[in-house]
Amino acid sequence: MAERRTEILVIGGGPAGLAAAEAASSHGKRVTVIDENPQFGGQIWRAEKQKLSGKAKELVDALEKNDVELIPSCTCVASLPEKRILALSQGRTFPIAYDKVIIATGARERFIPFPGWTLPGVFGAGGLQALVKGGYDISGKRIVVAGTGPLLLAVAAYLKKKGGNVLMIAEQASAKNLFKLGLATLKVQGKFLEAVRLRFATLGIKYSTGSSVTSARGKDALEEITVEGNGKSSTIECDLLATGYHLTGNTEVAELLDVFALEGMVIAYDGQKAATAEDFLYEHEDIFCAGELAGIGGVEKALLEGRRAGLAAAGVEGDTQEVAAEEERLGRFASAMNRTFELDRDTLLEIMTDDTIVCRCEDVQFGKIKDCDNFIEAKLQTRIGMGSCQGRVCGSACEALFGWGTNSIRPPIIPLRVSELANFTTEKD
Amino acid sequence: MPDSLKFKIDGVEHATSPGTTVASALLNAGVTAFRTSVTGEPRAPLCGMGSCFECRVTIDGVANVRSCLEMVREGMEIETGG
Amino acid sequence: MTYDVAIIGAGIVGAACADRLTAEGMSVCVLGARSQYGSATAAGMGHIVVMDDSEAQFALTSYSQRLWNELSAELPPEAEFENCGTLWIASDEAEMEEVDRKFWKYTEVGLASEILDQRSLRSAEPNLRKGLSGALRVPGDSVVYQPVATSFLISRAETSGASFQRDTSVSMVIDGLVETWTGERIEAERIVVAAGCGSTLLPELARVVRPRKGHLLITERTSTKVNHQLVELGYLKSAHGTERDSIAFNIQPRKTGQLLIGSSRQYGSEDPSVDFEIVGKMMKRAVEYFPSAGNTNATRIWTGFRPATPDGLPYIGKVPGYENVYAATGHEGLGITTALGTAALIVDEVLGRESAIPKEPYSPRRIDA
Repeated sequence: MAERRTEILVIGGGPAGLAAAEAASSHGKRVTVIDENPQFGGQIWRAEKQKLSGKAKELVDALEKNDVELIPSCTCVASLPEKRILALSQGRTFPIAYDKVIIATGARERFIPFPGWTLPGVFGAGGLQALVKGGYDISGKRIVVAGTGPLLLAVAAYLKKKGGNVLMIAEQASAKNLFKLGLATLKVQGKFLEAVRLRFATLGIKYSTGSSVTSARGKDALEEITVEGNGKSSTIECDLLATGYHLTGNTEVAELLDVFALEGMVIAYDGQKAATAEDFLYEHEDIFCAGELAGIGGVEKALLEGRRAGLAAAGVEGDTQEVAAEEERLGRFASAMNRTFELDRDTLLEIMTDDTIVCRCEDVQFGKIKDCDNFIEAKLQTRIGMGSCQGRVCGSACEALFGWGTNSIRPPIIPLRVSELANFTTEKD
Repeated sequence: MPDSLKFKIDGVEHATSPGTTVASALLNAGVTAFRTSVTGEPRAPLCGMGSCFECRVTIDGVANVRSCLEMVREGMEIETGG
Repeated sequence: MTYDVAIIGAGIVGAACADRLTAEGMSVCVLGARSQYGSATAAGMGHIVVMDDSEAQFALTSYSQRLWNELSAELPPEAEFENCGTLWIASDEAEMEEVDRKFWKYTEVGLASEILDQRSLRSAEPNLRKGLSGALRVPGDSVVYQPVATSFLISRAETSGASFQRDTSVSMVIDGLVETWTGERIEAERIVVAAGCGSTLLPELARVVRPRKGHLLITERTSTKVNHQLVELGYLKSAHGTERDSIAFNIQPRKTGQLLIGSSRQYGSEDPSVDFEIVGKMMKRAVEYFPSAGNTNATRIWTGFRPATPDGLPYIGKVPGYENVYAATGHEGLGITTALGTAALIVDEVLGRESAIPKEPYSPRRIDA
């Protein structure tokens, strides 16, 4: 298999990755960007039926102009010695050698199990949005949006615009906490306007705070759900449930490259924030992290961090002061937001029953794991997290339910044909 | 956009427009069981973005492909329920 | 309090020792360095196999196999104990001669085995490639999901009063006393060092126990049928070679329908990361013997370290230079198989009893000899 070589490898083509590639390539560096999706833009800029627009299109156009190599449908599956990764694209593997690597793998939704959540028709909130963008026609479907986080409003607004009959939004956070966040948004003008706009867009949709979906039922697919909160319980008939509990970073690639991921924060040398991780500095001076995987904070923070990582990887002094001030402002907002949508463990545990499936790959039930001491033991004893998704879904659920740390990724980080591995050789061309 | 792409789901012919993902096309076709879980439950997409592996189907003979990350192509043959 | 026995190591060997010692009414404390049970145990393959590299190895593996069979009825279903037997596969006539030799040797000592010719091999394992010469079938061998078996043994010991401490790394052992890295002191009449590669905390064992790195790969569930644990006879050459990196074809069928594929042996590397060069060779070998393995998906690849000894035999028994410190380590790739026999020998030695098999070949006294 032919090895590719680049100066700066960017893993992930969302806002952070694109901004990083743009910054580095504008300073004359040879840059390669890979993304697992067939289209660049990441989740936030996911294209409607493959048509990029706005800032995403602007950045991709700039990259094309700068001769950046863009490889869609390409995943980093393993780390190789001598500053190389093993990439998988269209069923074939090949090494990519780099001088510097920028990890910008973004975030995914965090899912919290509840009875019935494995029924077809129960989606992630962002997940349903992505499927609609991919062409899923939801016109006339009765939809409930539930969980926690700012994504719920955005998703509800989008689904309504696309013809979905959005019956209600059930937000687990209390009205009190949301009010506090409202105050925080006032300090960040852009965020405030965005929140107001979304609130208007969703007008006419019931917005219920302090409420959770406690079960979903149906024969072969979703038919009805129970929503509980504020001392009340109601049954709602619906076709689709879009549920998400805020976001969690895609730290798998960072873990492969031995960058520490701790409590959602990736500790790595990133040109500016080195002080947070001096001990790791010497080991990781060629590895940069940017965007949601380095802390959930939204698209503006991702663009900023991406740009900074791109400049640092290219060896260019950035406009550091301006960047630092802007970052502090966005960082304040991000931490206010993350506090508001912090999950209440007792509420989550109350909803669980012993037969609630936690690991959907191996169908491991809550009752089997609740007495385990940690995630590794639970994995070995019950096979939770040992299926194809390698704990991407149940890992963050267990983190929320039990406080377990879950850093135990093994290569390949997505399943890979044995015959492809049999072809592997590290001999260079 | 017209439904100009022809493809098959479990041997039955369907059509969709370009830019549609396989997962979305299956949902539009009313498929609920994309795959069968290890205890025999029907499963369908959860995350829509490649993390959960619930939307796995067989595409053109290749098993366990995440349908949310694939675009429908002319003549594609999709098998579900595996 | 002073325990009758402190066991260092919560892998399958430590667990089996704890189980046996508590069954004899002794007060036991098990110290595990990690949050799960063992490290080589968790990384290993769970093949319960009789091996005959030496008389002593044969005695210990066949004794242990009998003990596993006795235990199997008590194991929980999640331990997935399956008496699937082993096929030692011969790829040419020279290897068929080895099949013959093994058959007569096993027959001599009353261990059941059967020679499969080309045709009967194909009907026993239709997915193996065509043209293989034959195999030796050893029907008494089994596979077990060893993390659950380990947890079962430790839990049973706990039920009988044993105390189990996780995340407890031992810094020093002297007669009567174990000290942890956090400064905790645990007093015990006797101390059993069953810490795999970590047994090197005892200076005497540090001179002889060396880590031997291995890789394993597990596939997704597949409909491809494997009926036995499949091992190429060349594995014996691979296992014998002491210095060079080696690989050998080895597939274990799991009850889930997954295939666990091995194997590699490397000295001199203490880096736990996966070496794709080695994995590539392993998978090439696997596909050569078992072509349909190529169409399965690998979900995880990992490494582990076997505690190897210069003569290929474990150290079981009192360590020279101590009054009451025992070794139960150095099992290399046979820790799961021989854990139960090891525990029986340790208990017999602690209680000053006769053993079912001679203890002498495994005595740590040979370290200085």
